[in-house]
Amino acid sequence: MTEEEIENQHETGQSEQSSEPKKPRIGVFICHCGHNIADTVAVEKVTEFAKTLPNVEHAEHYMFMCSKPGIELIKKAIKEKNLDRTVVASCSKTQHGPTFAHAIEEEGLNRHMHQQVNIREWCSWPHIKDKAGATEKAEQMLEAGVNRSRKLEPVETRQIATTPAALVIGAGIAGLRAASDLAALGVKTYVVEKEPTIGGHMTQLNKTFPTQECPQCSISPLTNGVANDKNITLLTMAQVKAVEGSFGNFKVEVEITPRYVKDNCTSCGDCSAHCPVEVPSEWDSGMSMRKAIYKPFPQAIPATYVRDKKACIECHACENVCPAHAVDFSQKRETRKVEVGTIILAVGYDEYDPTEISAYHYHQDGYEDIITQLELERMLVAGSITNSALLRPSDGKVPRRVTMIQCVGSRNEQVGNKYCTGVCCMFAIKNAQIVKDNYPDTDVAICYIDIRTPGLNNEEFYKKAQEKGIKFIRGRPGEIQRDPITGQLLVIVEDTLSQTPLKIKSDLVVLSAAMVPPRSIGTLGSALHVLRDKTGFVKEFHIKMNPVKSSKDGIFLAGAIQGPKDIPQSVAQAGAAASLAAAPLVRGYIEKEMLVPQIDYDLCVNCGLCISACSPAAIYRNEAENKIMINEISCKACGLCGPACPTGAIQLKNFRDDEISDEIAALAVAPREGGHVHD
Amino acid sequence: MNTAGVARMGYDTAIKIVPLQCSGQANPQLIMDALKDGADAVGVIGCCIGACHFVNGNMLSMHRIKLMKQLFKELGYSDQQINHYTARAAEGETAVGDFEDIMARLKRAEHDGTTLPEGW
Amino acid sequence: MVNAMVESVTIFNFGSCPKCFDETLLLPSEEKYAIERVADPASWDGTRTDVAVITGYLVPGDAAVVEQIAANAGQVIAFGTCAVTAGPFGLASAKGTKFLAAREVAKDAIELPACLGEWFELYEAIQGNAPQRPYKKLCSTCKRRSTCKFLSEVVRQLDPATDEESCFNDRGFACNGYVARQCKEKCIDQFTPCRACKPLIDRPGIRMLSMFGTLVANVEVATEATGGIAGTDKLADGPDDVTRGVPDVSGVFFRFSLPVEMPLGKVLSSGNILSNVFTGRMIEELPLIAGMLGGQNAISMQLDIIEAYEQGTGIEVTDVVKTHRNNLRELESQIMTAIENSDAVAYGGTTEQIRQVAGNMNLSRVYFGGFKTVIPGEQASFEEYKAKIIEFKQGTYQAGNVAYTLDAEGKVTDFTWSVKA
Repeated sequence: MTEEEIENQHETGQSEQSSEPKKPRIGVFICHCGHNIADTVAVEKVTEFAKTLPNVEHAEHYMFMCSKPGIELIKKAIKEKNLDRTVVASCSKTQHGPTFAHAIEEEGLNRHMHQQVNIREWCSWPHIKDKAGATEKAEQMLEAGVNRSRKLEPVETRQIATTPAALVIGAGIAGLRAASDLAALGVKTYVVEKEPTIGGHMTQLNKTFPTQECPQCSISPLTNGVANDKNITLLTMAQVKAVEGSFGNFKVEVEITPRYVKDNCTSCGDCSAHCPVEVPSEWDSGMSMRKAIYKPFPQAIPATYVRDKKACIECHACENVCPAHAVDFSQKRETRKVEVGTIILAVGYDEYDPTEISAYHYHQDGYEDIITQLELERMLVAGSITNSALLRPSDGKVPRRVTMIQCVGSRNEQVGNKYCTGVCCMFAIKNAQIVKDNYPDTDVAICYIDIRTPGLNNEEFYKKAQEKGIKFIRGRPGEIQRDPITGQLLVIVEDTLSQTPLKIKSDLVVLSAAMVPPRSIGTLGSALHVLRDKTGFVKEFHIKMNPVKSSKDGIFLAGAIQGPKDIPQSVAQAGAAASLAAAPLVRGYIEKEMLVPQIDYDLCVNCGLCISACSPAAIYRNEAENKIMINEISCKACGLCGPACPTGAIQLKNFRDDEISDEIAALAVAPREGGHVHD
Repeated sequence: MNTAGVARMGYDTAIKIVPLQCSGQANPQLIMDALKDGADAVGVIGCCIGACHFVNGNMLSMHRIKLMKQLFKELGYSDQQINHYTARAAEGETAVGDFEDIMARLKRAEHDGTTLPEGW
Repeated sequence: MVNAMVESVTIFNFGSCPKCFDETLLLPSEEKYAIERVADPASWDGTRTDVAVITGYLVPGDAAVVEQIAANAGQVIAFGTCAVTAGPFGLASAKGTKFLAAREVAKDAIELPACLGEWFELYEAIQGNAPQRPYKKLCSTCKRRSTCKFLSEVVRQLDPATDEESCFNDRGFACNGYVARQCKEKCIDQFTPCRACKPLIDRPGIRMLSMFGTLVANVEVATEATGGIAGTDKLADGPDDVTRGVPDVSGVFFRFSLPVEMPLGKVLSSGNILSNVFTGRMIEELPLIAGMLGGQNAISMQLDIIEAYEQGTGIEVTDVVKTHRNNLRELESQIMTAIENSDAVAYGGTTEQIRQVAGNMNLSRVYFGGFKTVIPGEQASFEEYKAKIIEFKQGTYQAGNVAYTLDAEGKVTDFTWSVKA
């Protein structure tokens, strides 16, 4: 029969032959692997033993089973003896399992009807000194393999057509890069961004290290490119609310908050000028004020203004004054359903809020001159509230002494996080240099635990900062005090290199706050069913070999959401994510082996523990029928559902309890002298 | 286990390996089958804590085996005949170390006379 | 296979709790078949019978008699979990007591596990309508709904007042309902976890252990390094939050299946079978166990256990509670009289009254401090006698015919019941 006919037979459950269950016809092939196996394990003896086992219709041994002649022997035996499954006792499943599986497939058998027994890595090699013991063990292992092969069932491989579109969640540097790369591959891409503008934190920065370039300039080709690309649909003020389906075919529900300003807005700014309401600007980190109807910053893309419904007092001045009649108070929240084949998650990070560290008095009355690095960036940037001048928030004077504190919210067992953000040393040194360059009379000191500046050009950057006279004090400040009479800030720290306690008089204290997962990732992560690690960042598939895949097939990660990183790392990862996300779409389908669990509803008590145990969320409760069901496409064949089930109702195909038990039965018995283990 | 073999690290032929998709697939029912069929000790070996390919399969197995150990003690038997270990795929000696630990604990239980009876 | 031409039914009582044997009084006597009740199988005369019903637990010494019964019966029915797998007495196998399952001797025996055995199921089985797979599941009639989200806590008791809706397991409190068939006693309706006296599957203990172990995935479990340069991690020895939450794994998961699922235990026997069952159990589980295996003395055994602890730790009960408890003791002597007289009507009536107060024939409603659920008609005073969460206090407790000692974990270390069987 051809493979297709076998698959059809399996699917329809009907047989062309009689309705009696067929007896398995097993072919056993034992490999010498040159000297590797045969020198330790008596392969002829094992072969003779194999012939005594029930349902074994053919058993032979050969020098190299994986070689061309070896494969020919297998194929010949399948044809001549009408075998329907094979057992090869040779090396590991990873090494040549696929070789033999492929070979039997060419003979019309389903590739899952092959059982691999590793008598090399697991027998001859670790037991070189004990030939008799190794041979006995090989016989037991073979019997176990034969037992296992008896009940194997064919597993079909399905080609599932993919929806030819991709979704990028987050339009910061990582998301934009990924979207741009996807569009260049011809993939229709949706970009969903919750803010009114794209560009993310990178647009808030003053300069980027180590070259002190202007990030707005660097990112501008990308933001404009994405906004104008005909393959990209950009949705701002939009959030992903729910995701259904699986890899290759996701259905995503996107909720769009209204701007209350139509697309014909010319960005003239008259509305803003006439708006009577002022609130702190979130994009400016609270350093300046904005109106209730506003554009976050001059270069914002999209350039359309947006009305903050909560701050607005509904005087309608903006509506009256708009020359393009673009203001539209009647706009409503919209839900859009988007269908895509793959998703890239690029929602970035938030800056850690140091309010938690009470000893640092961040945002407390009387301590206005304690700010974070992001707030410092907003002050120094061109066109800032201070016109790029470095000024103390309390009295507007230029600070004579600036002290920076590293590892705020990082590397801490008590507050914040245990991890090292890895970027703060560089951006603190960057900002210290900018201050020193522009205010040579201002003393700048950085209190650190370690200075971490790996990578090309970064050590040089650090050295240059030292040469500029920036002081580096090795110690983690315990407290920032304030002289009650003069108001002078004092950073209390021990210089651990000279073992001297210090009280550093500071006019301005800048806290290098950690990068933490964005607040929104809790609900978004659940909606996407991606796993997060203890820190809250989204967990990659493999920490070394696959940092771009998430735990869920079809969802890829780009940028800081997978862990704190700098811009070039984010950009690189975004390119990788775009490539992985595009591949199945460009190919047009994904291939999936239907190695899935089956549920015996006579035993299922509908408790739902299998649903919790399933790591890729491939098991769900069908609400209408109140029945537990399997999403065969998401299933990863891990088998965690089996032991979770109190009644044994759910069993992974080809890994059922009775099948593994058969395998164990042959291995658990003590070998007897001279003969095989079962009478 | 493969790495140990490739490096020709030796261990006792009494150690038999049953491969599973994940240590979280190790069912206590199968562990009892192994013991009843004649195994003197059973070890479940999975990925390091935090590194499970399927998130927390190794933790699921650990919790179940902890309850089984309690059960054995309640019946007056050693709780050392079963355990859950983690091993690093790239370091064969961790697997071999786990095998040696299984054997050492079994020997102690045999010495104390607290091993499970043969077949029941 | 039994057919409708059954003319004789002989009922045998082995092991020492005769409740299933007594329950067969309710088999309708107008039926065409003659019912003979043999309280002492060893002295049975061996007459051929169409249906032999075995109740009570079996020990190896009974094998010869059971063989004789099977040889002289058209069909053997093992009625009640004791006959099937030793019932709760099976817990004594941890202390080396050997039991016999009816099917080991009577290979084709129909098995009707339940504690208390369900007489109407027996009635149907005699007719040839034994329950077949697929069995009905307890969960499909339980009012509670599970979500089975991973738990970070295991608890030993729940406050009954708070929650009528969530599955006990979801609250971290092991209930074996998942591996149980639908039954008559429905302990679960009396805020008492099911212990699967009527199992849905062949190996309920180990599967329920596996399920619960999976459910409590987020509880801290102690690990240790395996040591040496190549060390990784393994489970540490010693108690942790998982074992502290379930300090009696055999009693919770294997209450009705220990002899068939696990090897014979090696713990030193305490002397008699009741002591062997009760030692090692958690104090809060004792009332239900007593209710199940106390037989005709179940009520007084249970109340003595409860009152011993209440007196020893100063737990006060209301007058309403005292009245109901006295009523129960009274009903116990009434039922003994009914059994002595083989008076099916009186027996049936008294058991109904017991059910009214105690919730079911396993007396599941009765508890330390009062009752776990409302006795019909007592809603107003339920607030007063709601069960309290009792603490586990080390000590020796004695009342009536019962004396027992608890260790620091609240586990029974010795137990005596001074009523001659």
